[in-house]
Amino acid sequence: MTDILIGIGGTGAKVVESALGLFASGLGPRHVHVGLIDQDRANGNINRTQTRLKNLRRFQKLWGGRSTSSLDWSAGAGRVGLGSVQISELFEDHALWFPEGDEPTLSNIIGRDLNPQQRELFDLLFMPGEQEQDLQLGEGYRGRAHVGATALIAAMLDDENALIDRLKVLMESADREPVRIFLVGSAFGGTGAAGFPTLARELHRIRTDPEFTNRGGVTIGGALMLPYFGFARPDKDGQPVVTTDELLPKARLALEYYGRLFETEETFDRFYVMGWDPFFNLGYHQAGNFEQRNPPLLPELLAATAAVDFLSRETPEEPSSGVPVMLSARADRGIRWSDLPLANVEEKLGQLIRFCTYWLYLTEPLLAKTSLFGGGNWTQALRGRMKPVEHEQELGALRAVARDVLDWAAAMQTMSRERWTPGLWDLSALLDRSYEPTPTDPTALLEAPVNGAEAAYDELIRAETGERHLRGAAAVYEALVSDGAALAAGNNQGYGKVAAAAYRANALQPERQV
Amino acid sequence: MGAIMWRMVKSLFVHLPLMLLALGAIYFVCQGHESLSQVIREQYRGSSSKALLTVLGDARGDLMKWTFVGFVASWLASCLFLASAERARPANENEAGSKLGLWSFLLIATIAALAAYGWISLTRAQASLLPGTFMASLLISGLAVLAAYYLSTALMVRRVMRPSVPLAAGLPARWS
Repeated sequence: MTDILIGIGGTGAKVVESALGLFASGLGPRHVHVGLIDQDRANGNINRTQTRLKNLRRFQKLWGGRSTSSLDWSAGAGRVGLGSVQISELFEDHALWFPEGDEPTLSNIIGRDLNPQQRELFDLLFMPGEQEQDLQLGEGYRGRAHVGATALIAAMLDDENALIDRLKVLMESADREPVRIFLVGSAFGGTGAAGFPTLARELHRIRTDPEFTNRGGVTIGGALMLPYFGFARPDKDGQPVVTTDELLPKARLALEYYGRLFETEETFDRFYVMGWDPFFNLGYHQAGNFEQRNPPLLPELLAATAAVDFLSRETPEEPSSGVPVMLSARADRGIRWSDLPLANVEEKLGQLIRFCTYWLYLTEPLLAKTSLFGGGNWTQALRGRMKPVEHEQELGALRAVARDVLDWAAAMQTMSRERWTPGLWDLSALLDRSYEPTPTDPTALLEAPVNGAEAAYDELIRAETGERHLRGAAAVYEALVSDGAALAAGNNQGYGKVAAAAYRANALQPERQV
Repeated sequence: MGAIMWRMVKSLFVHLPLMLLALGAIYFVCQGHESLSQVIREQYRGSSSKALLTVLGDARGDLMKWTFVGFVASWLASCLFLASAERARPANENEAGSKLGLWSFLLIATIAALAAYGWISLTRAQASLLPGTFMASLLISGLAVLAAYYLSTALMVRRVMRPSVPLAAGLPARWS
């Protein structure tokens, strides 16, 4: 089985970021190729997702296989959920594909060497100057989906197209094994709105080509993000950017387009649509580049559950008369675990967040301690005389993933404000109160060690009732001290035993020991 | 409650063999006329051997009674400690060591109880036995009582609460 997840545009990247959190918790298939598509290479959303992707990749590389500190990610009973979904970047050493070269404009891409009739058509379809024809696409498509679609289609029709070449290689599996491709993008932005249907149709064209070797073996799923957040107005009037009042009409047009598309061709085998009302207000706007670094938002987590749902389906889709479209609506303004439409998400994601907190604030401080008589420190009982300084690379990689997960979770909680009732988790006790929040980075976590980390941990995962989860830090500590060796069971080595035991001990319900 | 009761029973199983050992040692140390003090032997010169044996038996009985009471005190103290530790819910090593004060207090209380009861009940035995024999018996019993308290608390306390018993981390944990 080959599984591919592609985030298109900034919103697509943010959904991929949430999906990485779910993958890190063990939700999803055994192996996923992750790709990102954006015109805007410096986009903050893309950069953050790429950083988290690289951190997770590095963790998997350092903790997998032959390392002195490794985790058991085999298919056996000793498998540890943490990081068990193996991630690959879509390309050999990177995940991002950007369609055009440096400083591209539509004029440069398709506006050259036109005959008079073509020139007239070009001028008819695209506004002159920087509004469209000479719009710098290096900063995204800025809500001009038709400009983006044209540029993206042009890039995809290019013979030197690394994205399509790579996807073809993955789709034409030598063993004719099933291939699942999941695309996610927004209906209201620029790059995503343009790239999402364009890429889906191109992949559909490839898989239905009579000469394609893996015919019938490729399924395509998609998640379309309807508007769910709004910006403050741009500083200068007339600057070509998307504003809140433009979002819903654009979404309506997009839905009409997809409705027509589904009537004529079955591009998608499964289609998910996600929106939110009222919008999340980001309170600022940056047209593109690094400062377009929107904090993680709750709808992206829900969309990520769609990706995991599609990529985890064991049986091929039954042939149907149309494209199955997954819609979910709710009247309650608050959020609780049962609102996430994915099996085991509370159990797995809750466990991951608990583990990350427990590792950063309650386990790492113990790693450097040794006792002459042994036994007192549960990590020492598992790691023996290993010293953290000799395994800093591995520990640093795990630390980076844990921080990524908690930063993501804390920002999502903070940005949700009154919607976070009762909420899924509560990291407020671990936030740095002296930090001055910015619209792009609304939170900062405290550095370990933290006084009262156990009390903060106890409040971490919210139960369905809104109460704290019954299994708190004391139960976890007792499990680690009393059953550490059993919790570390499996082919875990060195610090892998400590991490495996801590991960299992942090389950919301006591994990059955292997 | 069941877990606490079971730990108390396990503590009893530590105390019983040590007590039997201590009582046996006292019986062995205080076995013949030569264990009696010079004063008693002078006092009973010319009396029958049975009279001397009666004096020796009384002194030995006092020591054994004192030993028995010491073990009961130690068992009660260990039960108090184990019950208290059973109810604790430590979330880290510092909290796991939070009962060390109680453990020390109960140890001192046991020693004090032994001393006080000895002060009251061992006057006759002290007068009857040779000082060396008397002190050896005291030492054997006292050490056995302390060993029983230590082992029963160190081996039977919940594993997570072991930091509350000094050096317990180095002992086998199969009974905890």
